[in-house]
Amino acid sequence: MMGKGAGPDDGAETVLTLDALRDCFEGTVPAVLATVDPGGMPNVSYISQIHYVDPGRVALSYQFFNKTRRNILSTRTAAVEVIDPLTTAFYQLDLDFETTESEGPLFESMKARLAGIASHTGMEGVFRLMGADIFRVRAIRQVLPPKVPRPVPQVEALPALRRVLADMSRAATLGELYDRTLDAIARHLGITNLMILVPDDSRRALDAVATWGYPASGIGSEVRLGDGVIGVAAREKVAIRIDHMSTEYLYGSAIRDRLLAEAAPDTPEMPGVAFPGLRRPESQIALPVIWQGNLVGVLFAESPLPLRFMHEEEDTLSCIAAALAAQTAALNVDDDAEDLPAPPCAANFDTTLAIRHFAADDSIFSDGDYLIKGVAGAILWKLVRAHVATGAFEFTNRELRLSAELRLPSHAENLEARLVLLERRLREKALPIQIEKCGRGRFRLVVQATLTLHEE
Amino acid sequence: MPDRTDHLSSRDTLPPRIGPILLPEEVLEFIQSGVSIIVGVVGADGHARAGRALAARVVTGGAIRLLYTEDGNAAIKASASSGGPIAVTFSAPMSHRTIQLKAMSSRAEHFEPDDQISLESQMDAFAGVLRAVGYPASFVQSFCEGRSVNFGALSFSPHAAYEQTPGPGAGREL
Repeated sequence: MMGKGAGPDDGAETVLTLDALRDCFEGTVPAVLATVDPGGMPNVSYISQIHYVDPGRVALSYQFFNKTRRNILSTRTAAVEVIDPLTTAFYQLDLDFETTESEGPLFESMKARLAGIASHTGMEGVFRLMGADIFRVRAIRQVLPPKVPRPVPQVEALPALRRVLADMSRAATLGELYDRTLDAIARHLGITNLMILVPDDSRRALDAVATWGYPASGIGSEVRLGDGVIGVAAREKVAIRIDHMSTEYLYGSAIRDRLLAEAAPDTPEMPGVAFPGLRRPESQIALPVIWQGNLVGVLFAESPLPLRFMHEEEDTLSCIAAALAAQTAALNVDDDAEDLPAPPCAANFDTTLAIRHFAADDSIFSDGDYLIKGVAGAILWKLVRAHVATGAFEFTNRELRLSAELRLPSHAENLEARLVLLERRLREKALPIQIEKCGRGRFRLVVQATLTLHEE
Repeated sequence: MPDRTDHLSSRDTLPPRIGPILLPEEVLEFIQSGVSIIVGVVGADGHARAGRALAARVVTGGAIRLLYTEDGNAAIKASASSGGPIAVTFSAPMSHRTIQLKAMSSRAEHFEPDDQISLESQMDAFAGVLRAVGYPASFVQSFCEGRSVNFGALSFSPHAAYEQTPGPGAGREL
């Protein structure tokens, strides 16, 4: 949408685009919404949230069936006045109502941000999004010019993005790609609490596979699909951002307690890894990593500061997530077709390692300690059984993909991610069984203990 | 700020009042206490227009004078000049107390010396509230001070008033 920066009332002519007004939609200063009823009587109210949809449309939060709502439905027009919080320029938008969405990515994206606004304004539990009213923007007018200059950003997004992508392109393995991505975001964008999570469709959950900036790595910690900003971003495949933390979206002790309560009663120990997130985040953002329509991960960032992630950060991190998806796919190309070496004679070790497998959730415990679960757990169980039965120590991704018992998803990108997760958990636990890559599409099990296997 | 600051649809079924209403003294004090004031009018094209005012002043007979910057509020000025209908919502950011007044017509007025006194005291009070709510001082200064030297005034006599404070009483006609 384009409009005149100043109409006949104001003098100077500047071409305005909706893209240039996005700071006005951060919810910092309440916007004014005016409507008119069929009889010509105006109505005016504050609007909690105006959401940028695309260059030609915005969505307004519909929370109550009130006079505003009735006017919108009957006359199908509205007008809003917004203020740029950085420059205090005033803009007016003339709107034509198109439709209401009460579910789906746009709705969920607005719902999360409204929860943040409610939390910030003391309206938590009162605000409830009933729908996203989508309007086409008919006209934009700047009615008061900027009064203060726009602050110089601490990080220029585009050159920083260029440096991040250059760093990412140097990764030779998926694990390295994850680490380089987070390192580059921290280094070039100054965002220092980060995670990459990968989905495990069999459990409708995601597992942290790389983290940055936390006292404990938290690799292997779980987020359920639909829980918090990460879970909603994964379920809806849409960026979810919250500027002021809301208890509704805080992935904290409450969800952790629920996971524990839902765990199998005979599970010997705490069935998971503690989520490493900030104790008191104010801003969070989760970007889906999507390749050919499939979710292959979630890139997550958080900060103790409110309003840390705005539209520009969302754009930048979305570009990084897109690059992450493409490079993940590139690093998952054809398996090595060479023959595997013959299994050596079984070695004898002084130490033993008891590996216990719980079939209910494919969780694996080593000498009584939780190690991993889900697809990664099933993979490890298959490998150690093969190793114990035949002495095999080298494996290919291909044989895992073809394995019916592993129930791998049809999109293959996820397998390499599960192997990275498994490799990292084994390394963190410093077990006498490790995984290392030994070629494209193949890897080696390094075993330095006598394994005893127990199926539960 | 909630978008429930207008009245519930059930109120819309009431027949429109013909004459002006008398507002309780306490409400009159509230709307002159330095609160956020937003305005809805109807443009020449029949579409709604939104705007903001700076202060309100109640005068003899119960009419309300609304004081605004002419810069950026061309629609409000034009509507008042043609006697158009008006909706004005007053809201206190700290307490969320919100009241909407409506009038079938409005009238353009000359900006008077007494308007200047009301405007300055209410803007000072409102700036203090914004600072207390947590807006940065730089924003408050930019938002409240020196935006314009061209002030306009209009008057209206409300025919309907609605309590819009979030809670069980939202939508109640005063």
